[in-house]
This record gives sequence, C-alpha cells and structure tokens, in this order.
Amino acid sequence: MTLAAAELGRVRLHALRSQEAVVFLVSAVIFGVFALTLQRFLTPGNLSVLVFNMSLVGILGCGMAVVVIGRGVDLSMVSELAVVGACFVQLLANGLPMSAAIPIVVAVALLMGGVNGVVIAFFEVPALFATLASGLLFFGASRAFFLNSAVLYLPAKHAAFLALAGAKVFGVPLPALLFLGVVAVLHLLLTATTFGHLTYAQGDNFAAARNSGAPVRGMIVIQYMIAALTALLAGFVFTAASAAIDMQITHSTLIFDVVLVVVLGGVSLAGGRGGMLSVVAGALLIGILTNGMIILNVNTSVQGVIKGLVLVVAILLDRFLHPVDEETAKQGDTL
Amino acid sequence: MNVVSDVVRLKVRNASKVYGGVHAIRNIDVDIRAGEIFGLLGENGAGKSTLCKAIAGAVRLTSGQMWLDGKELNYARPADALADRIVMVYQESSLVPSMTVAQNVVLGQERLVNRLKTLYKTTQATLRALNFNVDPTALVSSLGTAQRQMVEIARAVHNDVRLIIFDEPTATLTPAEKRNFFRLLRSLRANGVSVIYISHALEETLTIADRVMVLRDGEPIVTGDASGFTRETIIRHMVGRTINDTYYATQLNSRDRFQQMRKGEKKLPVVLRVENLRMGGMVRSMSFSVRAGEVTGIAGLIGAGRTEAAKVVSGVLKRDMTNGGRVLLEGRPVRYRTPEQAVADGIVYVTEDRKLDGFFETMAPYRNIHIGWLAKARRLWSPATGRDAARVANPWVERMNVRMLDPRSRLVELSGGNQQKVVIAKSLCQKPKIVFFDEPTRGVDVGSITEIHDFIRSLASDGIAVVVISSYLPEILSISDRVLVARQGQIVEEFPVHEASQDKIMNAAVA
Amino acid sequence: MRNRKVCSVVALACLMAGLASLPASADSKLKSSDELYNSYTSATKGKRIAWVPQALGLPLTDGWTKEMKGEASDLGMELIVRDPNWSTAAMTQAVTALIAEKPDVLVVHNPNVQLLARQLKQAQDAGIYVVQLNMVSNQKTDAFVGGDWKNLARGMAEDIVKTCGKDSGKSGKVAIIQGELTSDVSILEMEGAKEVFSQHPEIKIVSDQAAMWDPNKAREITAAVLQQNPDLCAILGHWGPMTMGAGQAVKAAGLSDKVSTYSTGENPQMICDAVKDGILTKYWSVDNEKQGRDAMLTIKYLLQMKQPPGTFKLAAYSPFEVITRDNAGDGLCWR
Ligand SMILES: Nc1ncnc2c1ncn2[C@@H]1O[C@H](COP(=O)(O)OP(=O)(O)OP(=O)(O)O)[C@@H](O)[C@H]1O
Ligand SMILES: [Mg+2]
Repeated sequence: MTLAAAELGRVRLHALRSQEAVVFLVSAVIFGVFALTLQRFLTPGNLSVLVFNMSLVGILGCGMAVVVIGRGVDLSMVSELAVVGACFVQLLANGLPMSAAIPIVVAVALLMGGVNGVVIAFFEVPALFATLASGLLFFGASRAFFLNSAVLYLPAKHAAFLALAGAKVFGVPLPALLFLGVVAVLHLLLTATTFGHLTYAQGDNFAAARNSGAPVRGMIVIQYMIAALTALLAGFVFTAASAAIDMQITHSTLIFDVVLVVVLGGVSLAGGRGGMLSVVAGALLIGILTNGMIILNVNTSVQGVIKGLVLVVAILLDRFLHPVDEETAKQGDTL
Repeated sequence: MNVVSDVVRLKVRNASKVYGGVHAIRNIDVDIRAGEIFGLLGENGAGKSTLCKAIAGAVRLTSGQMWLDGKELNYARPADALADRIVMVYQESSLVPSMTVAQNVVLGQERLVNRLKTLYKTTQATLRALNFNVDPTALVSSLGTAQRQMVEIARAVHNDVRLIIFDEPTATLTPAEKRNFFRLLRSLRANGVSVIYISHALEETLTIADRVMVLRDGEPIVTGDASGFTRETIIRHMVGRTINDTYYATQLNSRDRFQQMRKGEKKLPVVLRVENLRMGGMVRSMSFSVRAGEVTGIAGLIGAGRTEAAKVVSGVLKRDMTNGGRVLLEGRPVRYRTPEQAVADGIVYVTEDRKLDGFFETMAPYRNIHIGWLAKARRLWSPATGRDAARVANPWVERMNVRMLDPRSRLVELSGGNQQKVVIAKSLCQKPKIVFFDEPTRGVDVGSITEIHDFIRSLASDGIAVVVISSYLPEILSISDRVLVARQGQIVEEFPVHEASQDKIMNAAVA
Repeated sequence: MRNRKVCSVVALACLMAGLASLPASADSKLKSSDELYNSYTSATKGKRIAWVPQALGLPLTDGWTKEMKGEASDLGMELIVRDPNWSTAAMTQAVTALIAEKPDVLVVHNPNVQLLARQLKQAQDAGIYVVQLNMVSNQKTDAFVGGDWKNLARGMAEDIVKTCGKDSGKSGKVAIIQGELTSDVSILEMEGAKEVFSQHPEIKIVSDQAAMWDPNKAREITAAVLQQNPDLCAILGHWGPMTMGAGQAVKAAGLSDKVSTYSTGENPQMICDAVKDGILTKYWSVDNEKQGRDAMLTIKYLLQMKQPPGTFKLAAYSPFEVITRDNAGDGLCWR
C-alpha cells in the first residue's frame, strides 16, 4: 500500500489546507458583495489602494508565519520594523549615503532576529515572553543610544526612496509585488528545502524533531532572523509610504493584525500547519474587509470588533474543520 | 467459569466508519454484556481502536447504531459518553503534562472549586487501590511512560463507570503491575462493569477475557467464549491463514543463535563504553558496553534508569555536570549537548513514547521518515521536495510493511502499531552505527512483532550495535545476544543469552 | 483669532485675581527688591518637580521637557522625568510611585479624561501641586496649561466652510481623522467642528474615522477615502504628525491642489516643512515651547502663593498661530 512514485508527484506537501481554501472563498464572497453594493469599490484606483494597504501586514505576516509554523511567535516584529525604519532614516539624516545605510540596517535586523532566536533557542525562554521583552529592549536601546527622536522624517534629498511605495508596475503598486515576492521566496524555502521541511517538523513536535537530530536551535535562530528581515522590508515600505517613521507604531494594534492574518489563513499557533498561501488568504480577507469598512465609514472601534469577530469565527472554523480527536489532541501547552 | 449476566449493556449494529472512501470498520455487530470482560483482537490496523473510539464518542460512525442499556447513543463528544459513564483509556497518552497527577485524574469533571487537599486524598486512594506507585502531587511531565499509563487507568476507574475501554493498557506495565491491573479488572467485573479490553498479548487476553472478538480488515471474523480459543486459532483468524508462529521459534533458537555467532566470528568490537554514568536521581553510576554486530538487551523494572541512560548517551538528556561519568564512542570520550551531535556520530534513540517525542502527527508517514533522513543529512539549504521524500521513504514503508488506508494520511490517522513502524523507520533511515530501541514493539501485533524482531536481528548481523530496552522478558530473551539487568540506576547483572532466564533476570532486577 | 488672544488674557487676569485675593501673608509686606528676589528664590530653590508625559521622544513632549528642564536648572529646582512610553499602566504606576516620593509639584500629560483622576486627587491630598498639560482630566487640579481645542477646531471648521462651502464651487465633502475616540482632544475638537458644520448643511462629512494617532493608519484611511470621493474638498485632522500621513496619501493620489489638509497640533520644524511642501495646507499651531514656559510660570506662582494644593483651579489656555504656505518660513516652528 505504499505510494507509487507517479502518484506522489501530485501529492501536496501539506494535504490539509482546507482552512485557507475556505478563507479564499469567504474573501471572494465578500469581495463580490462589496463590488455589487459599493459604488466605487471595483475601480482600479481602489483596488490598487486595497492591495497596497494589505501588503504591509502581508509582508510582516509572511515572517510571522515562518516563526509560528515552527511553533514560536514573534511579538517584537513591529518594534523591529520601527527600529530598522528609524535607524535607516537617522543614518540618512546623519548624511550617510543609501548604499551604506542599507547594509547597516540589514545587519541591525539580523542582529535583532538573532537575539530573539538565541534567547528562545539557547536560554529556552518561552517565545511569547522573550519577544514581548525584546520588543521593548530593541525600542528602548535604539532610542537611548542612537535615535534623536521617536518621529523621524526622511531627508528631502532622498525623495527617490519614496518610489518604493509610490511606484507602480503595470498598474500594481510596488509593495504588493514585494509582498508576492516574499510569499514566493518563503514558500519555496518552506516547501522545497531541508530547512522548510524541518521547520514544519519542529513545529509539529519539537521534541521529536530534536531527537531526530535536526539542528533545532540553529533553525530557531534562522526563523527569527527571517521574521526580522520581513520586518525590515515592511519598515522600508512603511517609511517610503509616509516619508517618515513614527515609533509610536510599536503601540498600535499592528501586531494584532499580523497575528490575525496569519492565524486566519490557517497557520495554527499549535505549529506545523499552514503556509504562505494561508498568509495570502488571511491578508486578502482582512484587506478587503478593512477597505470596505473604510468606504462604509464604519467607526474604528467597530472595525476592531469586527476583526475580533472574524478571528473568533476563524478559530471556530478551525475547530469545525479539524475536530479535536480525543486521542490525537495535542495537550501540551502552546507557546 | 464465572457468572456473566446475560443482560446486554452495549449493543452495536452495522457499525461502519469510512475514512477517505475506505472502510476502517465495516458492518460490525457486537453485544457487550453487563459485568463481562470482552477482549478485542486483531492485527495492526484491523479497526479495534476505531470501533472503540466510536463507542466512546471520540469519532462518529459513518453508519450504524449503538444502544447502551436500551438507550440509543448519539455522541458528539467524548464528554457526552462520559456523562453516560463510558470511559476510554487511549492507546496514546492524553494527559496534560503541565498538570499534576491528581488534576489529570479529575480532568473533564472538575467541580467549580476542587479542594486541593481532598483532591489529592481521593486520588491517592484510587492509586493505592490499584497498587500503583505514583505520587498524586507530581507533575505528569515528570513521569515516565509506564507511570503515565497508570495515571490514565486511574483516571478511568476514578469515574464511576458502566463501560470502560482499555486500548493496549499493559504494554508498559511490569508483571507485578500487570497482576494488580488484572485484579482491578476482575473487581470491576464483579461490580457489574463492562470492560472492553484491546491487546496484542494474546495469551493474556485469553486468560482475562470472558469472550473475545477478532477483527480483520475492519470486519468481525469470529466472536465467542475465550475458553473456546487458543493462541493458534486466534492468530489464524487474525491473519486469515495459518502462519508458523515464528515468534516462539526465535525465542527457542536463541541458544543456537548464540553458538552460531560464537563459531562465525571472533570477538566483537566494543563500540560504546559507558562508565559510571550519573544523571539526577535516576541514573546512579551506570556502566556497560555495547558491541557492534550484537543485540544488547537491557531488562529491569520501570524506573531503573534504563531509558534515562539511553537518552543521556544519545544526547537527549544531559548527564550530571560533575561526576557524570564517561561515555566512550570507539574509545573517544564524547559528551553530547544535543541529539544532533549524537545522530551525526551515528547514535540514535528510538523512543518509548512515540506520540510524545517520536512522530510528527500532521505529516504523512513517508514524510515522517524523510524528516529523519533530512535531519541526519543536515544540509539546511539543499532542495527537498515531496518527491524526494517518497524516494527516500518508500523503500522503508515497504520494508517495515507499514499499512494504512491512504498513503497520504497524516500519521495520527495510522493505527498504533503502524505508527510505531514509522517511528522505527524514521530512525533507521539515518543509517546509525548504534541504535537504542526503547520498548520497540509497544502496541505492535504478533505478526509485526516477529517482523520487527527479525529486523532488529538483521541490523545486528549488518554490524550495527543494537541496544533493546524492554520490560517484556520474552522479548529480551528472544532477541538479545547479551542481557543486562538494571536496578535503581545501575547495571547489576550481565548474562550471555544462553545463560539467562526469566527467573534469573527477575531476581536480579528486584533483589 | 483675536478672540483667542482675548481668552488667554482673560485667563491671565484670572490668575492675577487669584493672587490678589490671597489672604495677606508675611510676604505681602515685602520692602526692598532684594527681599522680593529672596522670597522668589526661596520659594523655588531646591523644589522638586515631577513630570510624567505620555512618552518622551516626541516633538511635543521633548519641547515641553526642554523648556521645563532649562528653567528648573536655572532656578536650582530638580526636574524628575518619568517616561511611561505610551503605556497607560506604566503611567499610572509612575504617578503613584511619585506621590510616595513627595515632590513639590506634579506635572502630567493625561491621555484621557479618566486615567489619572484618582491619583491626581491623591497627590493634592498629599500636599503636591498638580499641573495638567494639554489634556484635561475629569479631576480638575491646581492648574491646567494647554490648547483650547474646541475653539481651535471651530476655527478650522470655519475656514473649511469658507474653502468648501456655498459659492466655493467645491463639493463640500470633508473627511475627519480623529485621534482616539475617548481622548479629551478628539472629543473637544469634534464638538467644536460639529458646532460649525451643523450650521452649514452644504458640508458633507463623508468619512469620520479614528486613526489612533498613527500616521500610517491615517494614510491608509485617506487613500481609500480618496478613491471613494475623488472630489473630496478637505481633511480635518486632530494631530499634525498623524495628519501628515493623510497628507502623504493626498500627495500620492496627485490631489494636492484639490484637497486641503487641516490639522491642529504643536509646532516643531517638520510641521512648517510639511506646510511648505503642501503635505499640510493649513495648520492651527500651538507653540509647545511656550507652553513649557507657561507651565513653569504657573508652577512658580503656585509655589510662591504658598497655599495648600487644591485652593485654586487656574488655567492658562495657550495662544495659537495659523501656519500657511505663506508664513511657514517665518520662524513659527522651533528647531
Ligand atoms: N482519522 C483517521 N483518518 C484516516 N484513517 C484512519 C483514521 N483513524 C484510523 N484510520 C485507519 O483505520 C484503520 C484502522 O485503524 P485502528 O486504529 O482502528 O486500528 P487498530 O486495530 O487499533 O490497530 P493497532 O493495533 O495498530 O492499534 C487503519 O488503517 C488506520 O490507518
Ligand atoms: Mg489501535
């Protein structure tokens, strides 16, 4: 009864992807409803705003998904975004050329991801606490030792950088293409490399992956570095979009949106489940909903309530699609 | 021999469960009487667990009906079954590791306020009635597999039940614990409780059960009084043909094997030497050596430190920082901080608790095996696809004869015995030099036990050093070349297999 | 505008009246100017002022801090600064801890009307003068120094009516971007603006959302709203740095010369730059450095009056300027 090799060609790596399929479907339905009921929803202009707005959360979601699949979580991502964004602007303001500033902030991002990874993998601090604390640490350290202010404005001579957010390729905003690029790269990484397979294994059953000899500690460090790199990319987009970076973003609900998008699409916090397509599905649904609600002028707190409800529905849906089998239920406490 | 009432407690008619278009069980009719022990037998994947999970409300039947004391059952959740006082002890542990033993025992039926003191007292009473030596205030995560199993049993009998289902409960118990457990079963029966008892230990089942049913490929083959069957007839019903029961054959041949070995080869080289190993309170100055091309059996009671010693050697656990002793791999002292280094050096540990730290439940069997291969290869950035996984794993799936309804099923959807085969294959595809098998045939059916034993023997003849930790003495005797006996964290005896016997081993183990 | 200046004169007059009505004390019999000077320095020297902003690192709070610190050190006073970094919990804790330390004066920058109400009362009961900056609590204390938000909003709304209302040839469509629905500033500014708009039915509020003081959210909302209402006439924002995000969206949509962006807020240089660049059209600016000085002046008065805390309820509403492209280069912003 083994699998014939030919048959295998068609076998999807992760057979159980029903949640993201459902989320895609729901997105399509809501999209249809908005398209029919809202006058200017279906204009190229609005659609490009929609994909633009969803790509920021989407890029962060990709990094978060890698970590969550490995059964971690990175709550410091928004801090990382703010820190690299602010350092970048500060370096430019200090007169450094772009070509020098970029490698420096890449190094800063890798350093922050590395700190997260080392604390979690080697000192075995639970990811939730480690990243909650490290977010504050990154923010505080950068403010204390480097940044002049919590709000930094891109120097006018670097206006060309704004193209990162403003440019369009065949009518598609550049950030949306970046999002797709990140999805493609990380999808490949997760599904077609040893690192990816072992990350799923690590998230599914950490002890088993460790006992099998997988280099789990090193992998955790790499996973958090990947998350930090997506935060860096999002930080660039962010800075380019407002020509400024305001570190108050670390106190916004952005991290909630990122987790929402990831979990919604079926990347379970229990680890080992879901993938990049889940992130796309989640980002689409939230993007469409948010856009529609702004058009309908739904007030911000109600928007929050609706997003919260969507998350609850997603969790219930998950329960319904993957009923908890008494015997197979994973009882270990997550995170 | 005993008075079993004729009152039908549980009536099952036409029960079928279909997974992905294939029947896991098909048209099962069965009557379980009040106050009887009902043995359920069959090969790995025959559908025993599936049938019982349906009864206990953990899975829903595709078609068919069930009645409990005349009332039709339609459970959506195990909690519903519990309310009707039906309890199941699962094959794989379902305890919450972060809670204490007592909290686990009352899990699912907590009152709003559980007074801790009374909680511990009642749990203590239950455990003592069973003669299980487990501390109710201990965290489950600190327990070994066998003790966890005891907690599971205690949890089930703690409830005042009408029907209780045990899926492979004795696999990890020592003979003494087993005797207590059987006494418990009999007293349950005397109180009018119905017991469904699943086991691969055929003789045991025939002794304890009043009636038995044999399933094959999801269908009921025979049902009848236990006294009407023998081991041979059961096996014939299980597999559908007569097989010569090589299990005992191997055991009887051990002496011949030893002599053969003596003749064929010179002194086998020692590849691993463990000297005065210490770890916490569990391993206290343990010393032994392992030779290539030989199966070293380690017998002993639960808690003798065998598992821990194996885990230390293979890097899963760390030995004491000071005075921890030495581990010499081919004469070279090694101290592994992670299993990664041990695996790279060719030392693997095949776990006793596959669900806890053995398999990846969301992945298909072939991918589970592939993970072992990838972890050993350690080239993080090289490409690896599903096709690669199949190429690496399929020969192993065939060689281990892993059976499942659909090759793409997730590992949790395999029957217990087949999960075990996958876990073994996952480690063996790493081409180890030294293998520690911890209870390698737990939950495996008679036929497959023989297969796995043959397999372990063939590893040794290929020159691999094999260590088998087992609480089941016939197993130790049938596959080992050399038998070590562990007691309280030390190796206290060593026998060549032809000098070993169950009595000698037990004497050394408990002395 | 004259109106506002009158108001602050009135506030000052009240303060004077307060002083005049003091019961005669030893100090009122001062003879020489040396004595006057000595009574001034003895009232202030060595006094401890505790200052708890919502967060440091913002132009707003940094401006205040700079002024207060400078003057305090000149007078030999000690300024204790606590940075709760946007965390309301940390802020409450900091205030509670400071009460125990018994400074002479407590200056707070309240995020909303409820948060510190109890602590402020406790502080006064413990013999500490309490000065509130910029946002007033439900608990009125010895002094309030800050903007007159309702009137500022009224001024913006009147200007918007002029720009977008009858006979302007514009659509009359206005989008409002609030800070936070429960903050004092947003509540007052909404009241002020609604007061004016309600008398002008030709003004249509097409969107009214809270961006949680976040420029990026403001940008997202504005981008979507502009798609929906390309003929939008004006945006009314509650805080400069946040509204700059909206301005970026307007600019990205190429509508800078059609859509006017209004906001209130403090006056760091970047605001004047933004007005010059057309990111903001008109800005009702409150000089926060001067506010810092006002705060210090109030503190000095309180200390010299030597009355137990809670005796007075003083107020100093800040004067304001309207910054437009024409006067943006005239040094209305501080560097
Ligand atoms: N959730 C599931 N999804 C798909 N197939 C399943 C599922 N659960 C069980 N099966 C399949 O149903 C068949 C019967 O499994 P079951 O667990 O009942 O066997 P068993 O008799 O208990 O075997 P064992 O002795 O190995 O425990 C197996 O082939 C198994 O792969
Ligand atoms: Mg089973």
